[in-house]
Amino acid sequence: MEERNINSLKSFIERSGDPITFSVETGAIKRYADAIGDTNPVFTDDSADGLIDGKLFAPPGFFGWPTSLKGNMPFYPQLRVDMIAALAKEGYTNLLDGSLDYEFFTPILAGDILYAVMTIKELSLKQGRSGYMVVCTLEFTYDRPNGERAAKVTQKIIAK
Amino acid sequence: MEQKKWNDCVVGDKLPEYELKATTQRLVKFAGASGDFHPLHYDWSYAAKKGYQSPMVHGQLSRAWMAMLICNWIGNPALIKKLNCRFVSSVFSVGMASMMEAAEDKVTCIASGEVVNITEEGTQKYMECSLWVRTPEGANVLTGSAKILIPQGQAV
Repeated sequence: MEERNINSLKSFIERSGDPITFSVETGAIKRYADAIGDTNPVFTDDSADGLIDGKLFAPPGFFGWPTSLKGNMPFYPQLRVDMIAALAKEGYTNLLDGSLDYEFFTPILAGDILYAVMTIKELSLKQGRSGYMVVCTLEFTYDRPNGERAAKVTQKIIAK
Repeated sequence: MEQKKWNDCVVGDKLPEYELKATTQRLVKFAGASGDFHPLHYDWSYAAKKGYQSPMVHGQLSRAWMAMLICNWIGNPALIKKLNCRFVSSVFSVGMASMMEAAEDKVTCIASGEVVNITEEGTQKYMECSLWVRTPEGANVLTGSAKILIPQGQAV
């Protein structure tokens, strides 16, 4: 089998995208809950018991997972677009979900403002039964305007 | 038999099972809510061209179901401190015969889990669960885990 390397991609490692500011919207939370079939009132009912200051909770899966390929999601930094283009140039055009690890530090509620930053932590070449693949490890941090960390997400994507 | 409250559970106790149905309608809704409009997730002819029997369920929807399982079990999402998931295999949607049907009566996946550890860190107590989303035949679609803060001295 042809030997491969990912030297052309190494410059992406430890680079961070520009911070992206977004607000956690009540309507978006309700649409998301409806889309996945979640009827938990803390995601759907503004008068539900257990809300903090009457604000809906953001479901744990609501954010932190940029998947759109065309940048129409608010968490999709240009750096990720550039990384995917560089992977495609090397022949790795098929992207697969590997894993997602969430760490939550404070509850995320409707109306919160968060600053998201993506950092490419690692790009490693692996050889599997079906050929070469690049395992991309991305870290997303979500901080509040006062600097407090709300959440951290580590995502692994497999590019084949 | 009355079901235990989640915070009374011990190692080895099973989480409730949730049956999940991935209709095309569900996938279209999820595409709209998430912004992931890849046609593989809702276009039957595109999926067929790619060699699949039907549109593929978004991996992120399977993950959302895992998160939904644990949130609905404990009620309060603020108690979830860690949530990990590993994508194992793909699952595919079921069709709808007409728009008048809410969904076909066919389960796509079943989400459940088990309490695997109770730990203490300083004054805080945590429950750790293993989680999974499986096909009705028992094949893993997603595996994962959650770490949940057990509130002390108050109703949950």
